[in-house]
Amino acid sequence: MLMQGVWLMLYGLGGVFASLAMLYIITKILIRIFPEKEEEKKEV
Amino acid sequence: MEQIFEGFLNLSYQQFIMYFIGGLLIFLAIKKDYEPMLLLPMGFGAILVNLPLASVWEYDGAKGVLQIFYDTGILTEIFPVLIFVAVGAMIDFTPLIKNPKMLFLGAAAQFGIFFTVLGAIMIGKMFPILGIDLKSAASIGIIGAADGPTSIFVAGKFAQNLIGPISVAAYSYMALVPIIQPPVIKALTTKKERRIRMSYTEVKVSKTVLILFPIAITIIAGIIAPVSVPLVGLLMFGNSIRVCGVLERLSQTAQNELANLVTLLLGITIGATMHYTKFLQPMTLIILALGFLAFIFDTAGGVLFVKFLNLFTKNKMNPMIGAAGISAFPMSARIVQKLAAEEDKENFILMPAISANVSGQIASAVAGGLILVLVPWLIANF
Repeated sequence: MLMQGVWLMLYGLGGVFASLAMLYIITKILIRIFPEKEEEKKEV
Repeated sequence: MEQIFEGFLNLSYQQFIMYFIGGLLIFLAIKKDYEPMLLLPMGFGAILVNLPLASVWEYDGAKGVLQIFYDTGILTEIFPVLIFVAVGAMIDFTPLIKNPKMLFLGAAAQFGIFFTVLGAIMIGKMFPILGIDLKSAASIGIIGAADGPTSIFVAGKFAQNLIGPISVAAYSYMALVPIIQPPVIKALTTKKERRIRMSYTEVKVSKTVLILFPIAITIIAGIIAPVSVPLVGLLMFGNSIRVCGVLERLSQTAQNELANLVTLLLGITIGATMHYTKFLQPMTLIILALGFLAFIFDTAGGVLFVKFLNLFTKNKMNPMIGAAGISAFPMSARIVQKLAAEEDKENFILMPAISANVSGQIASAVAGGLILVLVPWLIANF
């Protein structure tokens, strides 16, 4: 069971980092595709 | 006549211990203002369920009111999930979107969860009589998510008999974050490190990004850990209501009425799981000790991760903001700012700390979801 715990730590932490890394990339892309100017144009 | 004395005849000293514990939770809620919305109902629930005959739980073979709440709200996981909708409606992701690299600090501060799972397994090996298997170890470890609903959700799936002590530990330690974190942060950082200033550049975030962000998280979580969707998905649904701009009434309802009502029922129902036959066990003390350890190692994981990053980056980050990567929002960020101000009155690191703190809220839900996927898989394959 100890090895299961070790694998859980590796996969778990790895999974959290991987998920948030994906989110980081997507956030960067979203900010680039939809900059704040977009809303200003709409208001005009 | 016998019925009048029935209460006296069914009293035991363990019940008085539970009245003391219930009273202590109420005291902490009222006098110390430690998570009063949860600790007070939990304390009261603990007293109710330990009254002679525990009629709020079961009486004459029929389910009592609190058992009905438990079956419909906890066993079905409706309460934690509804709380997630409410929390989602309360979270503002803007600071995190402005500074997305803080996402990684949230991930690092989940270290305590997995470290505590290992600790629980080792204790289980030393004392086989406790019957700690991987599922119970994972349920104990998730206290380190510093997130009550996530802890209840995971324990509800894996170790229903431990929901009471796990919830008490999760909420109590969340309330005790101002006491637990500072010594750990100070022990792992030097004065010089605590004085590091961080530049803050104002980045404007468009409404489109704010709307797409929760949808993106939901899709990522749904792909990586489909079981996590009730957690992450409902959290993000709540946030969508908030940011869309056309559902102000629903957003306010989720943030106020829904949050208050479910919190009220959740607290008293969790308290009702604290019957002395289940709560006054060595396992409860072990859960409380391991939960404490989880918070310490969460903090250490976050701080050490920033120190590690600082080895490779030009613009050094203040390592203390790593500690704000736990889900206890906004307490953790405030503590970090307070510690920074103690060293240097003009050092303002609240904004990056808030970003890390918000990231912790996402990371803890993701970690909970991953545990739900990984534990059955590891049991089946290893």
